[in-house]
Parts: sequence; C-alpha cells; structure tokens
Amino acid sequence: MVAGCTTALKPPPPLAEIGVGTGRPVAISSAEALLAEAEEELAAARDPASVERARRLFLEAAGAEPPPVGAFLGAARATARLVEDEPDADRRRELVVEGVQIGQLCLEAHPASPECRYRLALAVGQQARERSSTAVDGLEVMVELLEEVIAAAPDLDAAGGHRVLALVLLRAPGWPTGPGDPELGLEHARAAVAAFPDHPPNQLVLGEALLETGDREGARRALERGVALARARSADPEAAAWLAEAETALTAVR
Amino acid sequence: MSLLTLAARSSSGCRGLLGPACLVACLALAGLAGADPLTLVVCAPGYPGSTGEAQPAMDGLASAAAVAAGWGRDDFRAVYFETEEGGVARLGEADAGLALVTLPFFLEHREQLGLEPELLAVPVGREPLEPWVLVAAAGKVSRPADLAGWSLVSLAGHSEPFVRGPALAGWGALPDGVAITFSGAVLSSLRRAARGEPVAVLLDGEQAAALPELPFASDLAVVHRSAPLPVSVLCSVDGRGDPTRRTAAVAALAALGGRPDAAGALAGVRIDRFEPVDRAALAAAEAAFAGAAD
Repeated sequence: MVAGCTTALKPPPPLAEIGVGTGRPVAISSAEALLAEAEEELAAARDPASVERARRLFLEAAGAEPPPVGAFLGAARATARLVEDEPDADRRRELVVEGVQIGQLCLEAHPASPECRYRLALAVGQQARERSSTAVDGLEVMVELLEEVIAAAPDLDAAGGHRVLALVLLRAPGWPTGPGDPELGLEHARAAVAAFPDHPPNQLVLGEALLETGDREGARRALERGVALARARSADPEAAAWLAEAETALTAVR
Repeated sequence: MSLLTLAARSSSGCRGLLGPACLVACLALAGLAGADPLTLVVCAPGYPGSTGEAQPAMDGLASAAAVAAGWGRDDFRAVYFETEEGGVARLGEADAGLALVTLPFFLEHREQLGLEPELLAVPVGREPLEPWVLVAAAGKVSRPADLAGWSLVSLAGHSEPFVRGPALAGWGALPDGVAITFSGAVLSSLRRAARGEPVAVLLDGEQAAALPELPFASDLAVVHRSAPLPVSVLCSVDGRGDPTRRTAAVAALAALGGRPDAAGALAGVRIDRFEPVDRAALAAAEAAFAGAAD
C-alpha cells in the first residue's frame, strides 16, 4: 500500500519567490563577495538563524547574471540543513519544496552540472520523506538523477551518487511497486566504499546493505569501521550524527 | 546520509494532553465507544508499506466510506497490515467487522476468522480477476516434476495450499520435494532464476505485468498461467458488529467508485473500485484450495 501520488517536480517559480530570495539583479563581482560571505556564515553556523542568513546570501548571489552555480548549491545545502533542524512539520514541508525548486533552478541555469543533479536528488529525497504523496514519483526521479551523477561525476561528495542511490534502493518499496532492489543497493554501497573507504557514511550504507542482503557479520564489520572512522573525524560537523547512526545500527546487528 | 532518511517522521501528535484539539478527539472517541465502532482491517502479506506508513491512506478510505454512508467521518476506521501475523491478530479484535485481504490470505484464514465475501476490490489499472504466473529459467521447466528439489518463491508462499491449489493445480501436482517460500522481495529470486539456478517464482498479476520490463526478462520463461482469480476480497468478519451498520459500510464502499469526491481516497489505496463478488471464480478457487489442503 502506498499513498496517493503527485509529481515530485513541478515547474519552479522565479527565484524571487523562493524563500527569502530578493531576486534583485546582482553584479557578478558582488555575487562573488556574497558567496564568500555566505560560505563563511554557513561554515560557522551553529543555529538555524545563522543557516537562514547564509541561505539568504546564497539566494541573493543567485540573482547575478549569469547566476553562479555555487549560489544555488550553497542555497540547496543550507535549505537541506534547515529541513533537518526544523521541528515544525508544516514549515519543513514548505522548506522541502523550496529545496526542490532551488535544485531545479540550479539545473535550469547549469544543465550540465552533476552537482545540481546531486543536490536536486537529495532535495527530492527530503520531499519524499516530508510529503509522502510525492514519494512514488520522487523515488524514480532520484534514481534517474543519481545514475546521471554516477556517470558524470562518480567521486562527487565522496561517491555520494553511489551512496545515496544505495540508500534509495535499500529503503524504497521493491519491484514492481518501486525502485527498491537490495542486491543492486549492495553493489552501489560496495562501489562507494571502494572509492572512498574512509568516508564514514559509505561504511554505514555498506553495513545497511549487507544486513539487508543477509550478511550480518559483514554488516557488523562495516558498521564497526564506520564507528571508528566517525570517532576519528570528530572535528567534522556531521561526525556526531554519523556516530549516533552507526552506533544505533551496530546495536541492532549485535 | 541523514538527508536521505526515507522513513516518514512521526508528527508531534498531541503534545499538550489537555489541549483543545485533544479534548475534542477524546470526546469523539468516548462517543464512538457507545456507537459500535466498525473497523476495516486491510491485510496484504509481503506487499509494500507498513501500518504507520499506510495510515494516512487508510484514514482517507475510511473517511470517504463514512461520508458515502452518511456517517460522521470518524465513525468508520481502517488499518493496514503488511504481515499475515499482524493482520490475523488485528482481525481477532472485537471492532474488526470488515476485512480487505488478498485471495491467499482469504483462503488460508476464512474458516478460522469467519470471513464471508462481500465485494471484490479492483486495483488501479488492473482487473478484478487476474491469473498468477509461474516463471523459471528459460528452457529449464516444462512439467511439475521438473521442480523437484527446487525453491518456489512467491508473495503467496505463506499459503502452500494456495500455491499447490488455485495457482498451480491446473498445471499439475507439484512434487513433494519443492520448497515453497514466502517473500515480498521476488526480484532477487527472479535474478537467480535468470542465472539458471533452481528457483521458480510465482508472480501475482501486477508482478507478471511488469516482468517484460526487467532487463533479464529474456532469460526467463512463463511456465504456467492460472485461471483468473480474485485479486483481493472484502469480507465481513465472523458476523461481527451491528449487521445494519456493516451492510451500510459495504454498500458505501461499493459506491465509492462512482463518487468523484472519493477518487483521491481510492487512489490513495490504489483501488479503482469495488465490484460484486464473482461467485463462480471464488468457488473454483475454494475448491482448488480445499483439494490441495487435503
């Protein structure tokens, strides 16, 4: 059983209508300065208000002509982070739509960019989670985008294309209802680990894939390696989340 | 990785237990306790989704049926189970007056649970009756005896009499040496079959329709196609509840397909409409099941 369906991708509105974007013309030299400021703000952000400020700067920079790809990508990263930190479900549902729209505008402005495809795939994934009526179409869209990412930029985000596609294939409803396919998911998880074995999330997805396909001992080893790698990367802002996820999964395997 | 946690987040629910919204809900529940609540239990073992994931769609279906019956939106409830055990347990509860179940589940549990057919559900884009289809590696299987020592994997594997009876009795008697296994994830088994391993897969109508699109479909062959069988059956449960209300609920569900205001609710559970029971087809399935169960 799945919920009723709507399309995951609708035509995006003009940039000025997304979130807090100003939409006013920005000189390219000013855009570069805005981008630098936004990156600094996002890197240092410790609370949602700071992330929102960074997002505003990225969206403002996206008003330059030609719009720099980094402005869309930064706005997408900031939006994704806001979604994860937002406690209000209604606001999360607004944010995920904005995230998808930013990804679409990124791809419209930079059709050849694998980064835009990757960010759009992630945003569609968040949207599928928060707006379940988009999930069926969204999962198919994600698979298509991620396959394109893998073909064009397999190393992007430490083999993020392989890693995220593995997650989709592991967690989506199976054939013929959805694209779920644990065996193919395991292949992509192995590809992510082969390319970037020291990236903790790659070991976590490998652990999940091995568990899903019946190799409990292999899953335990991958997750233990994920825990060790996450501990060794304690300075990374995402290390705590990786560690918590790995330890939870490890507890279930033991 | 946390960005792609596809499992739905639970909403905050009633945080303030005495807030106005919760008070209204509590009063409504108290009122229902005296009004003979009726619950539709939907069970499709091995099919996608969980009870929690499906609940919004179940709520939509129940609400649409309640409106069609002229009841309050909360006077009829629906809940989904993707496991046989979960469905059987829930159908044992006093308010479970209706069940919507797959044919293998119906045949397996009709006596134990007192299931009485009322309507057939027609899935979106499909027929009320569809054949089950046995698939194996191309050129490896031509008669039932060829399956000796093989695995036979299916969504219907939880009911061996269904597999041996309604699904495959028309082909012949399966040998004792075939291991019948239940699995909702048949893609892996289809790959193994395509590689020439001793695995046969019994597909439902939706799976059979999607088979030609698989990249390795040319390595597989359809070995047998059953007679068309009901896909899913709406039943009353053990004569439970007020018969007038139950009859009204069945009539409301039967009417949903013609109500534009119910289109979204039906689409949410991937049902096009409910139809009268095909008694001849169901009787044939029951006879084949009984023959295999003996």
